[in-house]
Amino acid sequence: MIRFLTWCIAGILLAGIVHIVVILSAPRYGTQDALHRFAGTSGTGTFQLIPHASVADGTLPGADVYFAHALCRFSLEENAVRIRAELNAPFWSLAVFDLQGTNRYSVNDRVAESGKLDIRLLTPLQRVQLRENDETGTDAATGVDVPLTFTNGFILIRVFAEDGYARRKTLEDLQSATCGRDENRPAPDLLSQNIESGGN
Amino acid sequence: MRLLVNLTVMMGIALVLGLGSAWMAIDSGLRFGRIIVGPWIASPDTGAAVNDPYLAASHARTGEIVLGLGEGVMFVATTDSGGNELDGDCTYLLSGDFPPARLWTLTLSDTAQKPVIADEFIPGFHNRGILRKADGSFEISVAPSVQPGNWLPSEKGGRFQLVARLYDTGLGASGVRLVQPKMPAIERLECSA
Repeated sequence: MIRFLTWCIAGILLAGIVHIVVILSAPRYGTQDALHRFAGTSGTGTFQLIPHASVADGTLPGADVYFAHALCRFSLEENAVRIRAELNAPFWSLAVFDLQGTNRYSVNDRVAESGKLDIRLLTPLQRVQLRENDETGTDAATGVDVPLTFTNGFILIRVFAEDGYARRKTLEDLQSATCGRDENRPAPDLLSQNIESGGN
Repeated sequence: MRLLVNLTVMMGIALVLGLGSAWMAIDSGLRFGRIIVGPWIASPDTGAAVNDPYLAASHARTGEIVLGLGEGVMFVATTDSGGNELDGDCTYLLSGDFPPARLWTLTLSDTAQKPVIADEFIPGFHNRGILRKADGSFEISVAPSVQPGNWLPSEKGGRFQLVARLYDTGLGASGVRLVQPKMPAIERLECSA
């Protein structure tokens, strides 16, 4: 009997391990397809407009029907990404997701002056490099710099549009929004600079 | 033989308990930092980059694109203030006000979180288009038939949820909430079969 109880206790301990493994591995097998489905490919530099629930069956799960949405897939591997848009709406907000769909950064229209959105996403290294550039006066600082600890993800802009008319106007604004690579080239990589000078 | 039986029992306990508890934790939303105000429930932490494996797992299951902390907080009510599930055959009266926010929207969704929408018309309200009483509070009738005042049309038959999104609000930002936020009460008036 005691032997049997020992086996039962071992089972309970094992159950704890199973529980932890399932919880930790769940995000890997999750259904984050909505972002991937709408975002298109990275590097296009433009936002994909998400169809509204009134015209399409498939839309972003959890999206507010009073809002117009646009999505952009970005990659910081080559350079920083600069998001620019001019939005004329009573309220809008922006969120940055990683590839697993976790909300990693979000901000609302308070950061912008008169509806002009200008945000730069960059890695901590790119930030340092750009700062060096700024000090030498070669590049003017842009609006808001957001350092990210991951390199690939999605940018989602939500704009309040109370009816069909406001939505059509907003979609025009979103169509001209950009999320391309930052034209301000970072300072040449310090390491490669050393190699070059060493070779001379 | 005895060993085999014991091994089977052990594995059985491990799988049933382990998988069962994991499923319950993910499905019921074992979440910390929830805001519960009467029938309204919000999980503002879903919009933050917090390292909560339970949150990440539950989030991966729903695939929902959540509001970030800097954007707003979403409240969902599946029951009225009396604790009964919201029913399309019943008339409800929402009264009170939402916590301070620059913008709020109130919409309907079905039980699968799919928004209710009729062509171009959005059944719902937002703070820029609602009739208020003299003291600033409002009353909204949620009913399948036409009502005077603020009428939010619900569909006859079937259950629904009320979804309130508060944008640019201080609610989610602070970890400690000294004052319980006030949300509108949802009172069931009458039901017709």
